[in-house]
Amino acid sequence: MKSFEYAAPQNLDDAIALLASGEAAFVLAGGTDLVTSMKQGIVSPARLVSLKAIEELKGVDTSGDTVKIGAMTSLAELASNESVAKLYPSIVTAVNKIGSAQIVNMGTVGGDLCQYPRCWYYRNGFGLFGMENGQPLIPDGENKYHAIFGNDGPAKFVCASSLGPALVALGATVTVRGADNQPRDIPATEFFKTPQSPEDPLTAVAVGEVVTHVAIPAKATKNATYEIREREGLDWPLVTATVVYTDNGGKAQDARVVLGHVAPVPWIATGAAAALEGKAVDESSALEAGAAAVEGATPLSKNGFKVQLAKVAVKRAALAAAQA
Amino acid sequence: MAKNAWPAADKRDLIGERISRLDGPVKATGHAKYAYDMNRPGMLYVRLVWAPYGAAKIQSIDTSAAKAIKGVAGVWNEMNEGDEIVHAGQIVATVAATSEEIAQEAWRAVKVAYEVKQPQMNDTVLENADEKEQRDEIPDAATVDKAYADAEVKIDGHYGLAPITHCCMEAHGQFAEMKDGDQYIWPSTQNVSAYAAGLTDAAGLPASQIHVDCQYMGGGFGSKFSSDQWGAICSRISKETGKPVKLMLERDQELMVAGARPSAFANVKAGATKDGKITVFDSTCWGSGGMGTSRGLGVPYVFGNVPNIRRVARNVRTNRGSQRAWRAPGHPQACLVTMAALDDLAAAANMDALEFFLKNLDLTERPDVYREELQIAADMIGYKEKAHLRGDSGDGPVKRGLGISIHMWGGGGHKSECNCTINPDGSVSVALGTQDLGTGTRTVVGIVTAETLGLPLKRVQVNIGKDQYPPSGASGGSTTVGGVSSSSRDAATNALNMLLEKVAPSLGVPVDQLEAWDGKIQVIGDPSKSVTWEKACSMLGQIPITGKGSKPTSDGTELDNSGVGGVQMADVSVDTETGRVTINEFVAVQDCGLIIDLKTAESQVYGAMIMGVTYALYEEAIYDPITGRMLNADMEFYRLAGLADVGTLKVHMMTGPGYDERGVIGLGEPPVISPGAAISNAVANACGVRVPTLPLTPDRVIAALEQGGKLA
Amino acid sequence: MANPASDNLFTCKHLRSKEMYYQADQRDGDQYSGGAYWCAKNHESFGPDGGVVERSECTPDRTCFQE
Repeated sequence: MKSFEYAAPQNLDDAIALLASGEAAFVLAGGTDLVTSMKQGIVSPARLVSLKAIEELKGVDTSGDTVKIGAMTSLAELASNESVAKLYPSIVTAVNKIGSAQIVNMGTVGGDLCQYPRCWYYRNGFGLFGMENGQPLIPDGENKYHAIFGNDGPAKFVCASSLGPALVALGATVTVRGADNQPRDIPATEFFKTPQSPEDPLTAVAVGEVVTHVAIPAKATKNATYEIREREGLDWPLVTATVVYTDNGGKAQDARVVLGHVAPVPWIATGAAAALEGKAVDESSALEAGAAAVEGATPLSKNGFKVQLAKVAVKRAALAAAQA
Repeated sequence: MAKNAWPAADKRDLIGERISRLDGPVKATGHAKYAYDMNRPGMLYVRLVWAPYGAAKIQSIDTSAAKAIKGVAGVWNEMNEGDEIVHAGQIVATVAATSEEIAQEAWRAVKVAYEVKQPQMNDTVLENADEKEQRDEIPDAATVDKAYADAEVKIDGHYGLAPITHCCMEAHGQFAEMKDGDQYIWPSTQNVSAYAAGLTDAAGLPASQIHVDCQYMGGGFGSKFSSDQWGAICSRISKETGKPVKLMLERDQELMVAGARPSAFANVKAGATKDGKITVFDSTCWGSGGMGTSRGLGVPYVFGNVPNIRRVARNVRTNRGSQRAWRAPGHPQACLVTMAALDDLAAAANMDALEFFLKNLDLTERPDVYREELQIAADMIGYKEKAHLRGDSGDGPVKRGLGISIHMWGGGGHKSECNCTINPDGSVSVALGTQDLGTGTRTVVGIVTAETLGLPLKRVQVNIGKDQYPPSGASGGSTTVGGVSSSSRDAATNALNMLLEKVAPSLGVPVDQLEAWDGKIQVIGDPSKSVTWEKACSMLGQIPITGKGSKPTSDGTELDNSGVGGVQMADVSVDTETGRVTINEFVAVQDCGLIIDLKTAESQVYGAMIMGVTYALYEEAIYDPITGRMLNADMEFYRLAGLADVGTLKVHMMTGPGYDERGVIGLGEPPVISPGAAISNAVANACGVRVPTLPLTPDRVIAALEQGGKLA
Repeated sequence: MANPASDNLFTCKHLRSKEMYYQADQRDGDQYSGGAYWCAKNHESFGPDGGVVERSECTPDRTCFQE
């Protein structure tokens, strides 16, 4: 990999100052994505600013009416936190299903949200849109792991975040800080972006900004994530679904359904949520929610099977939430 | 005189026991040094610039920027302007530098311009095959056609296996160093004794001045017989610069060019009588091994005596890396095509698959062995309790099913020479130029030698992995254990007889009444008339003795044999909503003649089963159709099974009377043949439809369920 | 199907197969296990002339043939 500067600031102010050199400065969190990308020559930062030594970015605070999770909290610490486990089984499943002790121990909450897609065209150097000499490779290529929603633009990849779908469904807020040192709150629903041009960012985090923490309403809900994958070991999901609702006398209220790994962003399935709203969550309503979730899907040449998987994932997530 | 023949069961102290690998501790503690671990002061690191396209013409190669980087020792063009690229991963240029990082920087700085062409990547359709065909018709075309037309039960099926790679844990490559005008090589190879011969042009030295040392290696599976182009480049640079040079492939290039199992596809028409006797097997097979050939499949596999057979074979040339022998070349493919078609035929006849296979064993070469193995496997997996007819697997989206497959292999020993030296101090060494691929070869040589000399295993120093030792064959075709056990038995017996000559006078009996047993030389069966091993060896005086052995053995005794059969059964669950296949239980029953080390033999089978689950469910080399690039040349999307994926594995080795007296037979390949077929058949039994092509990934399972109207 | 192990005196000296490195005398190879030939010049399953490498194909009429 190319030679680069490495900075390990002890506090957030210093980190932000060190990032002010612009786009060539990258934030290093757990490094599970960035370091391999650097080795592969996909990114070549001039400077890495490690957040590892910044204590204020670590840990889970359950004292307020939100659960506040520091961006540098490891995925392992997140999933093993008692309050998180009690309130958000959907998050615990999302973490545990990653299937790699190394990634769960090294990977961080902020890093998970900001990681780049696993799209094999991107990882082979064809760029986020999978282009070769101006020709898009993905539509007629090997697209079985690509998007079945939100894929009408040049972006066909799927968002790699494991936590994203659950955080969107749980109504979380992501807080960032930049050069002005003022915290900026971004609803999780607006955090992920689908790029329309190669220069567009994948998240709402601006150049020079750092994700500082994520806050989730500390509210009792029924929630669960269901994930479908090819193998049990380290693997990426084919499809995930998170279902969240408030149990109102046996009926679902404020239902939210979010699919993962089906679109360039966590995909909010409004129709599926509507299918659950006001109903008892059982085999029949879950099945309806599954069917509603995939309405309007636009599969590519080789990923039609993901429509079936999305339908099943929503059904199973809803049933799992009901039992949570 | 000690005899070469294997000792009777009651005279075996080590042979056939469960004995841990001699090199287990050094491997487990990281003390074992592989080619990758070699380092020397002043060494050079090499990176290979490879073509990123399946089909292209090189327009220009600009190495000037790379050459200008400080620490770069050299940049060489391996191809030239105007040369054609026919698969991604072909080596275009080489850089050598004083550190790995500089080598990588220089590697990126080499600029190659290509005129990109449309590659041919699709091997799944027969239309893409070459015109040339191989055709066999037994007894003749008209009779085969009539047999199919007349069959009371018939199927017309399609089957296939995607291309996979060898994906050795230790990538290909070598370390080279010049010393006193000779070149010393530490490669990762399956072929120690003949490795140097491949480097003579590159090193500009005769094979006698190239010295090879491979003590440990991390898997070859048929891909590491040759020193390869990268070996030649490494040797050339070492000779040219005079420096030690390390050249190991990166994982991406390893998966693109260092070994591929050809794909195979087949259309099969098979027929049987209504009570389940196979009458006809008519197949058209094709496949691709890159730009070379892929030979036709030996189908019907195992059931070679089906009365009416047609085999048509075609080759598809694709712009993929060249095929190499992959553990039992051609057999897993032939096995899947045959066993899946026969399982479909059993289902069409509405018959239990086990009953169907048993009924047709007379069409195989070894019906009695298969019958016994089928019955043992059925007991191990609880066949009677779990079996059901195809698709008759109850309510709920998750369906459970059983599948059967049987296979065969040769496995006779290769040529080998061996020296066994007994020293006057009682120490013993055995030397031969074989290699241990991780299978236990070192341990087997030690066991045979120790058993022959009546010594504990730890008393024998085993010297292998260097071409300075007596030549021994490459490890391929499951020939190693037969070759090394025969030659080491022969060498140790000859050494022992030289010792017995020296000892006989002191015990006052003729040589032929002496034996080596329990650390002593004694009158046969009488420990009271004995001398200790140390005392016996002291009678050698000041000069060690060396017994020479070989395969074939010096006295013509046949210690090995050829021809094994095996049976595997899988118990799987299929989630008919998601297409996920999971292994519940998987059993293997295998014969391989006289087993030297039961533990490493069983390990071979366990390893093969895991490799089999992997190619049955996950493994597939995926190429972009436009650029010809392998998209999953990594270990993230080139999926291998993990422990949580393989289910409960059970192994039973056939031993004892009827097996032991056959002699030693190789085992490396046979147990990896059946897994694809057994698992595919279990999936069909569970969900009621055949998923035609391996690996059985969710997209393929869902497509088959949808087509069969079985999607939950 | 023809047995590829049958000797052809006119095959190129650069033809290689794994069986050449271990096959014992007087023991036939498995005719279906072979087929993975390579050229010792370029270590590929196709020759320097682009044609396939095969015992039956690596004959004197090829431009890359060497005795």
